[in-house]
Amino acid sequence: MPVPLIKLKDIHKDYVNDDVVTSVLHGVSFEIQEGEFVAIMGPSGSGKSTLMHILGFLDTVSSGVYEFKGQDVSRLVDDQLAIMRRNEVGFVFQSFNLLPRTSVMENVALPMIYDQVPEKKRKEMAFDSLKMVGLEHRLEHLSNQLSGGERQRVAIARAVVNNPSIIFADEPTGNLDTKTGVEVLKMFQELHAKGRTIIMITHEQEAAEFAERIISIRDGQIISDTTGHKRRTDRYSK
Amino acid sequence: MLWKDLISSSTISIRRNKSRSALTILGIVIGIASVILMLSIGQSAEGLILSQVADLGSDLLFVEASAGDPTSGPPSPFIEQTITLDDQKALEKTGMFTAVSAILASTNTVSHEQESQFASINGINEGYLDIFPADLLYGRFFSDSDIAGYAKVTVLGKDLANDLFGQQDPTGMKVKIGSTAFRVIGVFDEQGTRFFQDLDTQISIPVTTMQTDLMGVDYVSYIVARVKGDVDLDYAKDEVRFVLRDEHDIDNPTRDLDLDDFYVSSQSDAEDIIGVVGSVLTLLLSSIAAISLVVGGIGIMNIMLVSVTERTREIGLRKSIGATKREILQQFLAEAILLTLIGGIVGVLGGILSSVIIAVVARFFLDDWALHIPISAIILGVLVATGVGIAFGVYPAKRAANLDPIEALRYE
Repeated sequence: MPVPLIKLKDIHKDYVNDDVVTSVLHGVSFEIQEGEFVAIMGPSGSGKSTLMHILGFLDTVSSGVYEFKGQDVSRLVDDQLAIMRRNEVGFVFQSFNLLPRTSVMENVALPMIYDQVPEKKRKEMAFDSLKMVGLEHRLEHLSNQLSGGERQRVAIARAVVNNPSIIFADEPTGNLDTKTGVEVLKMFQELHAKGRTIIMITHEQEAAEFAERIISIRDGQIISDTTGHKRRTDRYSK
Repeated sequence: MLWKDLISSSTISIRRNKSRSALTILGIVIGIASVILMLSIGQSAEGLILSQVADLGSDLLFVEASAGDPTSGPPSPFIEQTITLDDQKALEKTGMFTAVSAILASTNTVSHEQESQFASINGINEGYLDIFPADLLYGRFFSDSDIAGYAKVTVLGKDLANDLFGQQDPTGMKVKIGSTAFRVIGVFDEQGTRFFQDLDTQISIPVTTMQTDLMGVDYVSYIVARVKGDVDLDYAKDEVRFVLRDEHDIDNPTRDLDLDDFYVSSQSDAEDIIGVVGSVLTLLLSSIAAISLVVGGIGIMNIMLVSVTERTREIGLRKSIGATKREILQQFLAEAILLTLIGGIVGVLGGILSSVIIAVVARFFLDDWALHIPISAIILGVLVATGVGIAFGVYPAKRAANLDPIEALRYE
């Protein structure tokens, strides 16, 4: 058995607010191998977003151990977390989070600025990434001139541009209509087919079924973890 | 983040909000421009006065009434007029001077038939032209007997003569100063300005006549003396003090200037004082201008704070793709500095332009006005602008850097 990409052991997360302790995650454990396409599903307030923030190095655990590529990363501090996000992770958000009034090209090239990639190389990589999502004809368009589906494709191009170990998608279809939602989900399946590791957070069963493995979470605990169900590629309704 | 990327990303976000950026830097532009303008005006004015003082020659001594040494403390508001024509005669007797002139200055209405002008009146004596040389257009200057005989005669400035008599030669005609009639014996040729006073609009009469017939006083405003070439100026000053203490019955064996009721100064003293006054004035003017810089800086801070709030999600995104706190801080600080630097450069250009305009306008009134734009002011302007950018950019940039990425991403 190879070293898992992600290994969680008894993760707890508490928020303290005015002496009131809110426990969001209590005792979450699982492993994710490289190349998996996992949906983490649960209703709002289930703790799935917190879980993604911890997995994506935006937040830290209160207790438990998070191993990434076999290394304990549960006690990293701010700047170390930033470096992990820079090198290992790509995010796709529900609301796209593109820079306004900025070209598609510049949006996609943005992560590499912090990696000190020289400008020429940045443009090449951004172009390749945009070609992959089928937007190579939109390079100089401004982000606010695009449709919702196109924006999310730009966001996906941005997430994969510097070859991260893992892609996190936080309700990626939440702001899209059904048809474009399916297109975006299919794009994740294509990425997965090319060997990418993808973790998608969603509260919709239909969206989750595009993944090959579904971890259901409720009230801060895993209630089911199923792999190999019949994958959907065709219809999808809200 | 590479330096190049830092600068280009700042440029991009400034360009993204062109009109807002322009309004933001307006305060800095005005601040820097006015500092440069004030420094320029201050230096030009000081240069003008100093050049006029230098024109007088370095061998002049001025004696005026004073309560003690005016350079040793604040001047007394009430100065007893202690300088008289007797003092003038006593100074003449020392033999150290080529000319000694007592001057009594006042203002009054000068009229001829229907024409009338309000003019400066100088009571002077026959030695005046040896001290302040001037040519006569018509007629003659005062003679010894005009002075001694309290003659009601006058020499007009050129422009004043023109106003009262037109182009004709007015010698022999009458003018009234107040209600006293004087006979015109001469007209000065064009003299220009001295100490911002237009000599061509002034009128001169014998100092004796001025004392008795116009003002009813026995003092003069001041005495000017030109020291002979072989007499040391400082020695002459001491001699003047010695003579005047004797004249005024002042017992002052310690030569304490504070005990005197007069003050003796030379052109170099005047230069020193004008230099100090000029620097103080320049400092004052630029301090006031500098306040607008601070206000401009606060404007930058406000807009940067608005910008940080407005771009909360962008900050969240940048953090999520791996920007460290330091990199976010650098980015926002760079934007603030770039903004103020642009403002500083525009302000420097604006300051130079307005200094030039002021100089052009000033030359209409003051022939000797020379344009000075101190290089130090330009360097100072750009440095201060950058400093303001850093000082007022740090707080918003820190706010941005310390945002929690999760909350920033969720910010609506």
